[in-house]
Amino acid sequence: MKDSEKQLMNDTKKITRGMVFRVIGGFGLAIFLISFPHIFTSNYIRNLAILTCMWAIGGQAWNVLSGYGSRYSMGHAIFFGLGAYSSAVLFTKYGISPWFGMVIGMLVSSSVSVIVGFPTFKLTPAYYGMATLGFTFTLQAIFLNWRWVGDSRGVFMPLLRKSSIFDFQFANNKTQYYYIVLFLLVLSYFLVYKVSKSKLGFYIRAMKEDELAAQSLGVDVMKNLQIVGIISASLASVAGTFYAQYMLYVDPMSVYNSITSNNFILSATLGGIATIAGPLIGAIIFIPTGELIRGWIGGSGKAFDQMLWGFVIILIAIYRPSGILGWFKEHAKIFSGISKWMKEPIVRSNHDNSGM
Amino acid sequence: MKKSFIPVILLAVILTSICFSSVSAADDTVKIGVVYPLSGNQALTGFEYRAGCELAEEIINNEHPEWAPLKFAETAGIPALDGKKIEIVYGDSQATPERGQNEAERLITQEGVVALIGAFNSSVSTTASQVAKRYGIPFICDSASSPTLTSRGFQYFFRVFGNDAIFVENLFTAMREEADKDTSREYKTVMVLNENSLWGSDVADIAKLVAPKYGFEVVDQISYPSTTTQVNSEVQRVVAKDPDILFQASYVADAMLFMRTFKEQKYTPKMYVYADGKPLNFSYRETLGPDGWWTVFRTVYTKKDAPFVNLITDDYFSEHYPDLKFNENQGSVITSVQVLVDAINRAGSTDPEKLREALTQTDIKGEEIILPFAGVQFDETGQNILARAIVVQAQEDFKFVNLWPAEMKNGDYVPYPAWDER
Amino acid sequence: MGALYALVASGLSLIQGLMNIINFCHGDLVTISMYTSFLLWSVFKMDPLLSIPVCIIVSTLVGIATHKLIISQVLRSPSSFGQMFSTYGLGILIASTLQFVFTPNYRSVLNPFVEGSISIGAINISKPLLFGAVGALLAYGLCYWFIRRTPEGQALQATEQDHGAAQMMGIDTEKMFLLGWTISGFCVGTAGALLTNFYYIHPYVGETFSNISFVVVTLGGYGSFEGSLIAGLIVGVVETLSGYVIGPQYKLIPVYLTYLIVLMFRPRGLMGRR
Repeated sequence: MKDSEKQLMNDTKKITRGMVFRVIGGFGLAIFLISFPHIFTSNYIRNLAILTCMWAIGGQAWNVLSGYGSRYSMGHAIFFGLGAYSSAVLFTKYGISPWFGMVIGMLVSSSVSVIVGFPTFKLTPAYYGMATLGFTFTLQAIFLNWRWVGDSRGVFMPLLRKSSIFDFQFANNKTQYYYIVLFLLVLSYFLVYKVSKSKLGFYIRAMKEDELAAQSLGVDVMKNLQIVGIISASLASVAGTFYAQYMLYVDPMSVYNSITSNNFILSATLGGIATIAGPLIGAIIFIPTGELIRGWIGGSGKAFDQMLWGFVIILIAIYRPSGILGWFKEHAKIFSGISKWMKEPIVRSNHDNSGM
Repeated sequence: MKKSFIPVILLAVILTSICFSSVSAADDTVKIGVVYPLSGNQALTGFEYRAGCELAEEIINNEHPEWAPLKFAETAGIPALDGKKIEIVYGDSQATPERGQNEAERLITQEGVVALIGAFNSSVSTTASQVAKRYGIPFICDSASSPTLTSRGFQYFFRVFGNDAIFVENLFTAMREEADKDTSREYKTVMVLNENSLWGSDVADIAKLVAPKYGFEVVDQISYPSTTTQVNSEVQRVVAKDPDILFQASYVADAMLFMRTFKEQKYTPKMYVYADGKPLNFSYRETLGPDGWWTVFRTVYTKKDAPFVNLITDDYFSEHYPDLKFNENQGSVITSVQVLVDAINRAGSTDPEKLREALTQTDIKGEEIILPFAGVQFDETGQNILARAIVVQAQEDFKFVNLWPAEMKNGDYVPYPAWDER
Repeated sequence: MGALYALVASGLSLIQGLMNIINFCHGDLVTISMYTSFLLWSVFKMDPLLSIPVCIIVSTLVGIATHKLIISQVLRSPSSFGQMFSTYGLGILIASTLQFVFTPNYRSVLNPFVEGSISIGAINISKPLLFGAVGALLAYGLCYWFIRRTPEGQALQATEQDHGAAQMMGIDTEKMFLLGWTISGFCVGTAGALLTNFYYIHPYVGETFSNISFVVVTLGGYGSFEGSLIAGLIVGVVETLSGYVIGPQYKLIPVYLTYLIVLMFRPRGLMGRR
């Protein structure tokens, strides 16, 4: 027993090629991400990067509940919109910093998620999706008529002369916005990573496999779903707050919209559901492609861009339904040689040297 | 397995071709960016504006001495820049503020446009003009009429078009005049019917504020969601209140639905007023036919008494765009382009700051533009103070009779007939 | 209107129940049949009522093509993403192609055979709406008879309940899928032609019907033909009544609330299978 423990300890001390690559790759990626706005000085590309990150956060939010978890939500626009409205209304009406607005948006979204969750988590997945879609339209109808939050006119936020982190506004400069959204992105992905490795993550995966079996083993399905729902709603709300502060204008028709929810779903599923990197990879491919297609041929007024876009989605749905990362999993054989090579230790661990 | 590479290759091809195509930028033109809803629900309107843009390019870039004294028709290109030609670059907002912002960003940074024109939807104009302001590039608003836009204190925002406050006042002035003249009926009550978005709500609020000033009582206001499939309940409410004047702010599709339902319910108010130019819309006229006659509306475009008007609208325009009919949308975009080119011409460069300076000093005479405005001059908020609406009634066979202002009046108001009197 | 909602939705319900997928492009099939009807009217001056058979054929063909080219491919893969988004993408493709072909102008049929309204006392009932309702109910009845009373219909029902079991019983499921699309095409084609009588035609008009159909289908229960009828009528009535009583701007809220409340107490819809 002692031996095996020692073996385990030694194993963890082994430095494999894979680890080295991961560390180098991680640093490389980090450096690339941080220096991105300085490599690409065009504000249009920065803008695309910012939007990509924003949708990636939203995609991750959806991924927590619907990728790892078992409820296929079609109404994440609810939380996105609540986040956007919370910070926008607080900022314009009371001058409260959007950072607090973000927290309050998370609280609001979480409570709404719990309220929505009680009746809907009981539903079967197909009905759950439809019910959340119904909630989206209900909220849209309510916000369209709610005077205090600007009804159908939406909320205009003042354009401030000075840039300040506190007010979440930066004149004429995308770099700060980029760093903020990158920070939020990293934070949210770290959170999701932690959750997926935690007991909760284990439970929800078990529930996805077989809810009844999980229940019979003593997993409180409802409670776990609610917790996951709260995490998911909060993340979507963060994306919403960022949207509001970046656009400086929120209106019910454009946030409480099934297109918003579908953007989340598309970016998460395109990358690969139930994976950490999936939503980001999906968003990196999906958002710029959509924008570029529109920029390229969208001005014709003949809807070519939409035709192409629909066509691309169908192609992906037919040929790549499991997402980009799913492809790697399906074709694991091709990479097995690489992964084996990766696992080989490059430095002799002290297990071998212990005799000395 | 091979199959799975097809979409990957396709995507790669698409992406690379996009990358290459966006690089090819010509430097020998002055680029002007426009943002309109060119696809999606409101694509029809975007289409009309696009036609206007193409016509504006024709006016500026080529010599058309027969169109004088229309500004820049006689010359080719921008005179002060040695006849440099303009090129209009299109952005598709799909009527959403986010897309609008994105497209503005793209036009400014990728295409390098010297100014933006747009954007039909007030919400899109909001976000697109914020982008323009950030880059210090003039934004010329040719169509969105929400008063909020000019109240933000943007130095780079210029609205050639009027705003709703002006338009609604104009309409009520005309309504009062006609109501006084028509002694056969009594006009006391007004009912406001508006679609529930930025524009509709703004118009409704102003109308409620303005109506008492002109001696009308607002009995009720109905705002309805604009993507509705049936308007029976709205119509029932109108019938129940039976107002003397119905004041409606709707998008085309809804306006047609309302008119049909009113007909089915055999209901007519004593005066039917649209807050904008619904009967000028091609689809509206085609669809409703005689049912759309006798309504009163405002427009900023009417065929004015100038030599070039018929040549452009009837000869040139209907030849190139048989599907469309020249209306205020083309008129306002052409005027906006002229205003911008005039500023570039006076500034002698496309430097944004000089351009802004030149724009604030704009003074274009009424006879140099196709719109029947008294001219173009901006106040300190960027609003064109010489903009005004023309109140028109659509009479038999969509013969448009100007009722107001007095100097353009060319016919008399016909009281709105009941359905069985037609 | 409720009856038309029901007709549109019952086609959707059938497909969703049968294939176990969510069909996002159902509303666009309605749009296609509306344009077919319009095209026949503008070229041959054919009244929308006469064009019903053609509309049915066209929408059935489009449905079958969709199935053959896309759905059958997607059904093979285990991921629900492909199943959802293939139809979502197709919806965008159809709408934008229609915009390309017909331009985004609002179209509508002028002077159709049924026009105007009938007065019963003080109440005016719109003739096209009435015709729509009656036609929708007739078409609905026909479908109902087919599904419940003919052997093919029963085989269809069996397939709906359990693909595997049905296959073992010697039912050709692929054939049943095609039959399902045909019936769905029948519903959509009829509804489209009837709508043309009084509604405007626009490439994106299907979106509105899509959303309402989703509500109706879920309210009625997936795969339940009776459920769609009841739910369609409920939605139509609630929409009109609440518009009149509470105020038009709030008219959609009670519709969605009804839907959510029903789901709370009957998680599988009004007539959903247990």
